[in-house]
Amino acid sequence: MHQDGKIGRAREGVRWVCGLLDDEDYLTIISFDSDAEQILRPTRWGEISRDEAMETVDELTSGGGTNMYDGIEVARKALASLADREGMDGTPVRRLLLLSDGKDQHREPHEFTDVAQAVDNQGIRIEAAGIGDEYEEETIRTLGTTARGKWTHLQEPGDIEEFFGEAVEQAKSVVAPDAQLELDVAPGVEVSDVYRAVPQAQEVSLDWEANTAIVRLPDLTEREEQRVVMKFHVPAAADVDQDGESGPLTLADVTLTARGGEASETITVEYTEDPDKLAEHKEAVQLDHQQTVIKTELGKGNVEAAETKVEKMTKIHGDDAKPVDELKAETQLVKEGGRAEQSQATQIVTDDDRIQ
Amino acid sequence: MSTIPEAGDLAAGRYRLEAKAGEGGFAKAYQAVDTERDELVAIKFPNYEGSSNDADIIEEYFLKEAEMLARIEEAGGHPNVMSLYANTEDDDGTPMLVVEFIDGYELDDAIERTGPLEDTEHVRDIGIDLCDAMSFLHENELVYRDLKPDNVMIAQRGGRPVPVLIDFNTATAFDSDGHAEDSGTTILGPYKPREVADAGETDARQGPWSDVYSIGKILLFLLKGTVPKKDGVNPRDFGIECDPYLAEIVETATQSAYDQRYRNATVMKQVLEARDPTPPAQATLTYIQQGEHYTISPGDTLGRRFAKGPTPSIAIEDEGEYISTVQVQFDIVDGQWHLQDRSLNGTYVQTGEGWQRVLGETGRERLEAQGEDPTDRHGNTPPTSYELSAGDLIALVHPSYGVTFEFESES
Repeated sequence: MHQDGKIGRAREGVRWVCGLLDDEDYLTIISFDSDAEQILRPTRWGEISRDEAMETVDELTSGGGTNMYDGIEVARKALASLADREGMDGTPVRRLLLLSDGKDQHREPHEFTDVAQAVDNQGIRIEAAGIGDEYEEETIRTLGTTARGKWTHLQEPGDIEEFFGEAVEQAKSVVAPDAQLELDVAPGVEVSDVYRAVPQAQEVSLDWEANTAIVRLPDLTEREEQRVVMKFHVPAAADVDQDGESGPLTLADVTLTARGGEASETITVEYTEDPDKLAEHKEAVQLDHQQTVIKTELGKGNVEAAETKVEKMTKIHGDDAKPVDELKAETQLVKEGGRAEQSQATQIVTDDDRIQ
Repeated sequence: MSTIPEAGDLAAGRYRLEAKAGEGGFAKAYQAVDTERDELVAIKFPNYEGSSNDADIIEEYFLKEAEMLARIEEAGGHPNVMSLYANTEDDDGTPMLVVEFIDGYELDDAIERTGPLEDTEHVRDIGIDLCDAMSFLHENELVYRDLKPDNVMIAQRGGRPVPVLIDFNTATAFDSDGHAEDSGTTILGPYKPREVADAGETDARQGPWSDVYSIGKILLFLLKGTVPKKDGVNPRDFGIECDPYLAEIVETATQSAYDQRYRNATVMKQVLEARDPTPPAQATLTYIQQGEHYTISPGDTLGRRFAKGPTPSIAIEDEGEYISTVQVQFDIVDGQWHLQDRSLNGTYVQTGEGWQRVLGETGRERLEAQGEDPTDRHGNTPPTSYELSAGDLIALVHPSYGVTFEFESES
C-alpha cells in the first residue's frame, strides 16, 4: 500500500470518529514519526468547530520513523490531565485509539508492557490497530491486551472507521469502568490458565494480593457480554463418607467489582466416587476453555501450537463436536492467511451472535 | 435432520441445482434451473449443517420465512421483494423454497466490491425503492424488523442498482401490544432503532417509523460503507460529501425519538423524490368525543389500539372491538387528501351532503359473505377511497358508533 494511501485512510478514520463525538466529549490528537507531537490538545468538542478540527486532521502527514512509545506517553499524559480538569463530573471514560503502520525503532515489543500498564492504571483503555505489513504485531497485541482494550489488524477499506468507531461508541455506553474479578481462593486451590474469552480471546496475567487473585476486565458496557475462562486445581478430597462423597468445598469466593458496584458468587466442588456421577461430563465448559486457548494462540500466529491443541481436542471430544470442526477450519485459515485472519481468529461467537 | 442436496442434484425431481448462491444462519441458497419451465430460479434449504444455530431454531425460522413469503405473494408481490414460486419439499422430505433468482450481490458484499456509491442519485433511488417495499409490507400487515445490508440484494435493472429484500426469517406480523412477535432482542445493531432493541422495556411503540430508521442507516451505509450505532447521524458530520438534502433526510430518519423521524416510509419516499427534507403537507384530526388532536402525514393509518395486527400510526381504544386494527389510511393523491378504507366494517365521511360510506374490498367481501348489507345509503357499492376536504367528518364503523373525527388540512 502506498504511504499516502495509509495516511489518507487514517485521516478518514479520524473524521469518522469526530462524527461520533458529542459536545461534552474531549478529543486530543497525537502524531508520531521520529518524534511524538500533540497536534490537538485535549479539546472539548463543543468548543471547536468541525472545520477547525478537520484542518488539524489535515496536518497528519506521514514522516520517517516510528516513535510509538513516546506517542503513547504523550497521549497518556494528555488523557490523565482530563481527570483533573475543572468541571469534569467524576472520572471520565477515556480511550487511547492507536493506529500504527511501523515498527518502533527504539523499543522491543516486551518493553511496551510497562507503558501500557501505566496507561491502564490510570483507567485508560487502549484500542490498538496495525495497518500495512511493517508494524510489529506483538507490540500492538501487548498494548491492547495489557490496557484491557482490543487489538486488531486493519485491512479492508472501512476497517479503520469500524474498529475505532465501535471503540468510541462502546466508550459511550460504559456503565461501570475499572472492572475486575477478585477470586478469594481457598487454601490448597490453585488458579491457572486464565483468559478473557469475550470480547476478545486474550491471555490474562493474574495479580495476587495475599490469597486473592485479581483478573482485570475491560470496562463493563451496556448490553455487552464478557466471558472469562480459567482452570482450578483442587486438593484431594478430605473427610469422605461411606459413599466416597464429601463437600461441597468452596474453591473461591468470586467478587465482580467495578466503579459503582459489586456482585459476589461462590464456586464450589463436590467429591464423589459414584461412577454414574463421575460419568457426567460438562463438556461445554472444557470446550470453552480449549477454544479460548487455541484462539489466543491463533491470534499470536502460533499455528503449530494451535494444531497440536486441536489434535488433542479431537482425540478427547471427537471430530463431530462443532467447536472442534470450527477450530480446525479457523486454524487452516490462519495458516493460509495473514495478519487479518490472525486478529479475526480471536473473536468468539456468542449466543447473541448466533441468531442472524 | 435431512441430507441436503448438493450442486448437480435434481431437487424435487424438477430443479437442477447449480452453484451455491449464498448461506446464512438459517438457510442456504442455490442457483438452479427449473427444468419444466427452463427458467433460472433460486432454491433455499434449511442450513442445518452450516449454521451455529440449533436445528429446531433453524427449522422454526425457515418455516417463518416460507409463511411470510406466501403472504407477500397472496398480496400480489412487489418488485423490490423476492418472489416465492413454490413452497415444497425435496424427495427426502427436506423443506425447500423455490424463489426468484436475483442476479446480483448482497448489499454489504456489493459495497465491499465497489466501495461506497459515488453517485448519490443511486443512493436516492435505492432509498425510494426500499421505502416503497416497506410501505407495501406495512399495508399488508407485515413488519420486516431486521432491515440491514445483508438482507438486501442489489441487482442491476434498467441501468441502475435496484434493491430487493431477500431474507424474511425475522419478518413477522405485529402482536396485540403493537410489538412485533419475538421482538425481545437486546442486541442493538446499528440498523435497529431503540424501540426495537428495547422492546418490552420501553413505552416507545414500534411502528412504520422503526423501518424509517433502518432505511436511513442503509442510506448512510451506501454513502460510506460502514455505519455507527449513533442516532441522528448527518453524513456530512462524518466527512461524507453528499447533497445537503440527502444528508438532512438521513439525519431526520435516524433520530432517537421516533416522533422526530419521518412518520412512515411513504413520507420518506416523498421527501427523497422531492429532494427536499421537509415533510410533505400534514393535516389534523380532532377526535370529537374525546377532544384529542392528532397530526397526520401521508401514509399514516388510524386504527384500534391493542388489536392483533400491525401498529396503526394513530391507535385509539375501542372496547367494542368493532374498529379494525388498521381502519383507514390517509394519503395525498394529485395534491388532494384521500382516505382509504382498510377495515372490515367500513368508514363514513360527512361532506355536508350526508354520510358517505367508504368500504375496502376486504370489508365488502366479508360483509357479503356474512349476508350483511355492503352498500351505501343510495344502495350503490361504496367507494374504497374518498377525497377529503377541510371540515369533513370521519366516523369509524358507523356515524352512531361514537368515534368521529373532524378533518382539517393545512393547505
